Amino acid sequence: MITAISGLPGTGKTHWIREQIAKKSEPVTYFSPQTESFPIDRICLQSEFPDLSILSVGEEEKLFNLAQTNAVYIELPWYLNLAAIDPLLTQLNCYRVALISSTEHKSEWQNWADEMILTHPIEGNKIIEAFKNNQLQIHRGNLTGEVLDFNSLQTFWLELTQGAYGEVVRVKGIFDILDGQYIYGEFIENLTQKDFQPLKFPLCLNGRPTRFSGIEIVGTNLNKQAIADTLGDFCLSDAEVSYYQQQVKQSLSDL
Amino acid sequence: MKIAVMSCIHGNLAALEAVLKDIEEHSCEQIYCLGDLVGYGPFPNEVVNTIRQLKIPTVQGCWDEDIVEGLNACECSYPSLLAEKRGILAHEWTNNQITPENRQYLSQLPETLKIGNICFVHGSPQSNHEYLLAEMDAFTALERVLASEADVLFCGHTHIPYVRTLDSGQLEVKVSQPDSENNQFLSFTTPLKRIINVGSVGEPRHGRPNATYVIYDTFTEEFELREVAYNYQETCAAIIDVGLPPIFAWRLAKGLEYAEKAEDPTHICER
Amino acid sequence: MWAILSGIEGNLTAFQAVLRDIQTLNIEQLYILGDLVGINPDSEKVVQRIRYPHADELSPQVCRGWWEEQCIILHGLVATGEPTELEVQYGAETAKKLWDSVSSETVKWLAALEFGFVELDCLLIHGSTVSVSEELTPKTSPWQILDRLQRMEVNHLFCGRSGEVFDYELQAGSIATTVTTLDSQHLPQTMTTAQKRLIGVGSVGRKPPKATYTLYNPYTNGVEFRTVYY
Repeated sequence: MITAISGLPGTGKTHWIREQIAKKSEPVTYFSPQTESFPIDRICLQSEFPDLSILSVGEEEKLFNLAQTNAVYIELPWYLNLAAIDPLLTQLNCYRVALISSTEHKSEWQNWADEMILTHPIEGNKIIEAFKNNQLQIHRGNLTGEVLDFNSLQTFWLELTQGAYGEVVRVKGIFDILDGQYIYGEFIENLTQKDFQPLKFPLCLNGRPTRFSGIEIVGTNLNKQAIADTLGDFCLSDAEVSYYQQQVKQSLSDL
Repeated sequence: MKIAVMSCIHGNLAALEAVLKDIEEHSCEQIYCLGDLVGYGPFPNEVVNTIRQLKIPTVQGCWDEDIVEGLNACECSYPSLLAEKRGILAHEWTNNQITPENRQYLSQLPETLKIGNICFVHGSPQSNHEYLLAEMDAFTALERVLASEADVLFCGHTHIPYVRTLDSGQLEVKVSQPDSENNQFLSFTTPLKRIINVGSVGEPRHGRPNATYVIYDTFTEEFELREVAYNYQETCAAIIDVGLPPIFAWRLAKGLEYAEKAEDPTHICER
Repeated sequence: MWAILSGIEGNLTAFQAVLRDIQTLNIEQLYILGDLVGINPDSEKVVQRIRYPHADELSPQVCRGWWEEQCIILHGLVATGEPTELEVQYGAETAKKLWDSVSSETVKWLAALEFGFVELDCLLIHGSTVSVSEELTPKTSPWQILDRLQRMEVNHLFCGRSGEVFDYELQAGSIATTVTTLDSQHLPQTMTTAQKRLIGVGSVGRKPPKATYTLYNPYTNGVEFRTVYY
């Protein structure tokens, strides 16, 4: 079966998919259009489910056959034009799930969805209003190859989520940090905030990382220049990267 | 005698003026200042001039020291790379602004002041970079007061005010030495000691933008943690106007809680 | 069993007497807590003896002492204020003697030494956790001693600066504390501290004709002081 999932930022699309995968005994395939260059959700799922198979853009024709044996989940990011992808979903006979916050008007999704799931409420109607008025901005910073100072990241994260660089409703990011760890962080306005989580991937201890890292910020009046400048202020130099990598290797060999 | 003790003004003139007015209204006989007159804020010379004109006895803070000695703080005194980069920007700006007379004034400030059983320091008796946080181990805290040879230790530097009493300290010791036949059993006690952290006038970090300082009565040993509201937007606007990093204005407006501190706050760089 | 030495101060005769004494014991680990060199023409030989132990001897773990620190400052390998502790305590003449008694090649080796070692629950260091110059003795304030132990989060501290031998046990400690902030007053709390121990390991070469050093059994926590006459 193919399930397509949609919903506004921070409604818990990836989280819902994670819960479904955990329940499945058959192989699972994941596909998310327009996220290829910024695969934060995919990497999070892969960290938890190493056997998850991933479909790339251009391989959509495989979906129909895969659906015979696999459970297939198509995650539709909020900025995707639903009308444009509708023919594909119809052709594949997808089961459509919309994740909605309780404050939203169900009618918005009634025509699209086969099933509507109420998730945690999104604060006020701020995000919905902004979305409708096309004010919701998205800022992406690709940090691939960069290694970040973790203490600085925590400071920046706090400033960012408390509004120092514009009103922020949703942040997610994957980072390579100085001790070689690959970590995930997320923020959803008005929810209890979680600490950064280490992803289950090997430590990066030899030169600059080549795997993806980056941050995706959704909000209004974002000061994109200040965000980029501040991020740049705590990316480590080559010398610092190799210094910390040596330190970690040393402490690992002492064990 | 009623005294007012303040610290960490950081070039915030509006905050200083509000605190001085509050002090006057509470008829304090003497004011003391625990340093960090400059750094972060837009009015370093105006703040130093005010302190000089009022002849307020002042000890040297880590920012004052850096303006005099050149930035020699080791990287370990910065909690993060970001804090370091911002600190350097603020240092360079202040360094360009400060007048020779005011630099001279900052250079002659003592590291500690002792009046009777009261000691005034910026960070701790050992270093103006050490953070005496409210949650510090009680024995460590007591050792710092004892090192100052005072009963009341006034400090700043953390930007969060508190008063901590340390009472009935007791240690039992056994000493054996090959030269003396018998073991020695010793017992040590300490009387009531206090650490009073006066917070920050110009860059509060207790979660509100208001200026903080402390009033202390040397006879009755009563203390009052004061929190003074003032027009902080004025300082925020000036921070941006003079070209200091706008994030300083944002932090000031939030009275941002101490988001980061060095991993080992008691660490003292020996460089 | 560990053997812990300090304060050789270039006294080769004393050091060799102690090495012979160690040979008669069942020692697994040999620590030298600094002051290998001093105002003694044999300083260079002592360093060579330590760097190149005989085939049947243990290879010692060595950390920096006060005299090593003075050598490093003298040779400009580390910046410091003027005048130096060496000049204040011993005068300029001594600085010259120290310069003559230790080669610059050896000073480079000394500069690379560790400040101390943390093994199990023990810190082994020349002075204290605050500085190589700090002398901890039974006369030091017990609060200061407790602080120096807490700084490295260990319960045993072995030190050598004073040259004295002693076993100083902090058996029990307590303190009552209250914190008042702008928004709240916390109730008084009583804090206690675990048993801690400061051990002065003695001096091999400072007080002829008597060398003192320390044996420590990490399995039983037993401390024994050895005295060797030479």
